[in-house]
Amino acid sequence: MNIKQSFRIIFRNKTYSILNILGLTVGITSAALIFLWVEYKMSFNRAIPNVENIYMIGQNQRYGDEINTFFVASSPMSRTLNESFPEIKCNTRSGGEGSQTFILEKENKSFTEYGRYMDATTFDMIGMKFIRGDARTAFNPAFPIVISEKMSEKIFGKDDPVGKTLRVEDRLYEVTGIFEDLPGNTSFQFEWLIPFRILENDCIERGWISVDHWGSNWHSCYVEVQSSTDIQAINQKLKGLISEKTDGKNDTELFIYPITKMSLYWEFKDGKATGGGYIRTVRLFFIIGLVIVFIACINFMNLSTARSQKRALEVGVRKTFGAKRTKLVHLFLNESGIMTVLSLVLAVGLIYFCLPSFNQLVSLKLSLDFTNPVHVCGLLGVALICTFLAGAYPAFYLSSFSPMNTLKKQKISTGSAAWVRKGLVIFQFAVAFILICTTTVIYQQIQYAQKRDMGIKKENLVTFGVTPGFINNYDAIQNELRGTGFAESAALSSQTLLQIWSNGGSYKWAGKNLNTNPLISIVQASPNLIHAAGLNLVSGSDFLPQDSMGSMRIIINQTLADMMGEEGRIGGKIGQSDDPTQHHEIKGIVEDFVFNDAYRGKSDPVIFFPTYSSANFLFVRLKPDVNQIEALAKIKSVLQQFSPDKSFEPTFMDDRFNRMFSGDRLEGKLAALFAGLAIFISCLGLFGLSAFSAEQRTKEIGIRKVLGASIKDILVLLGKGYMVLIIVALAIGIPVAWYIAGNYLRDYSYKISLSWALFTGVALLVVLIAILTVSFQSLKAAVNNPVKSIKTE
Amino acid sequence: MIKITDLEKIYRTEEVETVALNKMCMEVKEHEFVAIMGPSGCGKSTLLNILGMLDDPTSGSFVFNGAEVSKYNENKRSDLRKANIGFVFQSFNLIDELTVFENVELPLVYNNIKPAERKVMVEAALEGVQMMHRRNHFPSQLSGGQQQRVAVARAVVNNPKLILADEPTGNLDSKNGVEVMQLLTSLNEKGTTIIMVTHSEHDSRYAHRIIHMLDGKTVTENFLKELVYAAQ
Repeated sequence: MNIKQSFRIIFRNKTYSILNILGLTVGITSAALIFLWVEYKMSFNRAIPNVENIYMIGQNQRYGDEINTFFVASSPMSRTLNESFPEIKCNTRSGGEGSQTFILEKENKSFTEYGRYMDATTFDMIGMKFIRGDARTAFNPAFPIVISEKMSEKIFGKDDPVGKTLRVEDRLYEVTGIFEDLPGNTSFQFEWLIPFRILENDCIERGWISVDHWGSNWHSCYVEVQSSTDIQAINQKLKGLISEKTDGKNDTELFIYPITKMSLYWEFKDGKATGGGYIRTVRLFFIIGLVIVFIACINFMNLSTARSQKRALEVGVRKTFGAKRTKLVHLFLNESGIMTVLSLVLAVGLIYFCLPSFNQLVSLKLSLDFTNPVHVCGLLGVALICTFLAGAYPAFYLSSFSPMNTLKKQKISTGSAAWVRKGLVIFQFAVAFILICTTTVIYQQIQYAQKRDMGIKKENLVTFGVTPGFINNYDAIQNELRGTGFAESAALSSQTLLQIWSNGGSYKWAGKNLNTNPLISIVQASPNLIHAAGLNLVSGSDFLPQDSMGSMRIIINQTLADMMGEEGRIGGKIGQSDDPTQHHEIKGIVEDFVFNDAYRGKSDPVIFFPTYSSANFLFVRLKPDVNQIEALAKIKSVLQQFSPDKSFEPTFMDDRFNRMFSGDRLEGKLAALFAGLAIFISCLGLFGLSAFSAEQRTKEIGIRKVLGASIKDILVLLGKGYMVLIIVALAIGIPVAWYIAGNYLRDYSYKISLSWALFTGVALLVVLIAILTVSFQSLKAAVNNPVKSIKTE
Repeated sequence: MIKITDLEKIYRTEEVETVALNKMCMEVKEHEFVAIMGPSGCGKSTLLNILGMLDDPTSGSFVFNGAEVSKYNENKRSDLRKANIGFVFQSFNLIDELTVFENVELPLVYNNIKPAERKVMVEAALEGVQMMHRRNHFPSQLSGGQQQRVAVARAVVNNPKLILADEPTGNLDSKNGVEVMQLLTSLNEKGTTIIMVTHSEHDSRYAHRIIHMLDGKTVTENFLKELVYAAQ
């Protein structure tokens, strides 16, 4: 009975109900999308059955006063864990992650798939399920490979691939198993696995690694501890392990870190997890989600109390005929409950409608799942919160009216409610303003870094991934490339230069302060790399072909030259050996270029070594005015002459550079989206409030017009009150936004400076939006024929 | 049924003190029909609010059915009110969002009467005011006279011992006004006590007794008719 009446009240007050339901629907939808994203981020690695016991090996390396934390391991690690750590059930090494081109010989087809090299212990550790083959023996043959269901279907169709071979360069791998496709959102994303020992042997053969060296970290290592093991005890035992094994020469400390924390809590300071990392962003968005729901609830509260005059009579009548206050509270909560449920139903529809676009935006496959109790409870929880948050205050406020006053149609005094209403409007607009300001700052900061001169000429620069077999033919390839007429220059590098993931310490030079031990980034370069990458030489020259024949010449960057003081000059010497005659001679100094972090102010020290046997990238600089499509096709065909199996997908340096910002840009876009929604919902509320106040003041407006007020006077009269609220909101919002934006920028050293222009601009925008919203209703009231409005009562 | 002695109601604001009721004394017997008249601001409505237990007196005694109720709290007053008193207002005060049936039903809902029983009682009340055919209409679809008849039905649906009517014909034309007064008279004849505030000399003549008020107290009382006990 009550429900039916509540429905009727909702349907008979269309403007009010539509504003409320629309606001709540948009609010719940926004929050749900944010929460789905947060859930995804929080559930990293949770799909692995035994995840609580899986950890990663981490190292705290000391460089001077600084401790740097890396999740890497050296060759002796795994063996030592097996021998002396019974509390660790098993470990697996992981490396060589990337795309490989596999050839199905008989059909002469090639397939490029992503995968890595790991140990057989992986299968059990992360719960891989074999559809074909036997996990226990899969890695027994000399060159086995296990592949995912998806990859198997792609290459072999419905056939059973076990026993068939796939060729990579000149090696044949025997397929020994197929595993069920792995869940997404874990540390383990691969379509194929090859035994780690094969990678290790290759590296040893090429002389890249030494099996016994504790300081040469080149892979990562996961461990599974025995259940209910004391992790602190393991860490205590690991801490001094390297020092003990190296007779104190290497003071690197080891520890294990849960893989559930790898994506969100990766920030380390002084060798300790700070509890920070991406979790900060996730938390921030979670709060934004809650705030948006709250803003929608505010509309509800405000519109309810603003309409109180209308409901007052009803309250009076009901009370006169015996309704107790609790009954009335129920009645009003019923209404807010029904509205919330309606909004929830609409929101679910809207979520389904928006999810594809939202997924595209965040590059994920999020979905709302009604068999997932978390999702169902989450939605119901939001609905319950909305009902009470939005309904409770109006319910208690409206039910407090005295029947005596309301029945006499006296104006009930709305003192407290009016103040609460004003406060809430101020809150809404302050929040919307803060969100818009912060978003704009994020956007400007990204733009600023993207326009930065990186020190590398990114234009017309293309990179190709290369393999050791390819490098052997490098001289011939160079000639052919020159012959195409499209390439201005070409070179090999171990790093993309936008990112340098190799580094080392313990470098010495004459006059060095022995208390310091800077971590130096290392690039292996072929002749001509400096020129091809467009780095600027400050002095000296680029590598020449003869440098690659075992010369001891190197090129350093300006930061390292400055660090080396006197010795940081052409002819200066630097090396890791204690014997100065074994040191390398500086033949060139390049201007600093930005790598790894586009927001960093100062560059790290870099050394370029003139060896390229372990190069990973071929840099080709195209001539400026050539047809790029034609040029790339030609270059690809040249490269394929030497490695016919490889597809050689080109990556422009510009794209690599833009990819460095993809995370920030995503956050920026998300923040902008939700800032826009926040202001939209706030305006719905303002629209409703101004509609009701215009309606309530119809008679007053009529009288004023009869007495000579112009339309403009009326607009000012009606708008004034709201403008004061908006200005107060801005006065509160500006310092808060300033603080938040400043805090955000604090993490960057290459950054914009906060300007008043930005805050003023956003403030004007908010005022303009508010004026438009309020004027729409006020104008309607102002142009009414006064004769009509005076007679309304 | 009602006896008030030395009843005072004083409204205080920061600057002024307004005496609405000044040591008012009055007695109303069961089955009586009393009209209260007087100029605007003489305290009629205040009196009616206190009699209806919507407001409490500043001082003095108010005995209802033998119980001293002037010190009752909100809840107790509400219980007493919903069981014993029906109201008819000048401006009808029907709830726009409820149908005729639901408006009349309202007092029964708050008296926790079962739905089946409610239906019988509401229909009886609507029959009594000849509004049964409009049971599913909304107030806005009715004329003023019809609305007031619905309001009367709402006031009597619970069989209250007392009906308080505050200028029940004030918003009606004379023909509809007469109809409503006849309705009230017939209710009174069936035993309901009625206290009615009115400005209309014509309406006051339906009462047994007219109390004239001025400045918060009774100035004259005119007995028009003998009180005849109606058959229950």
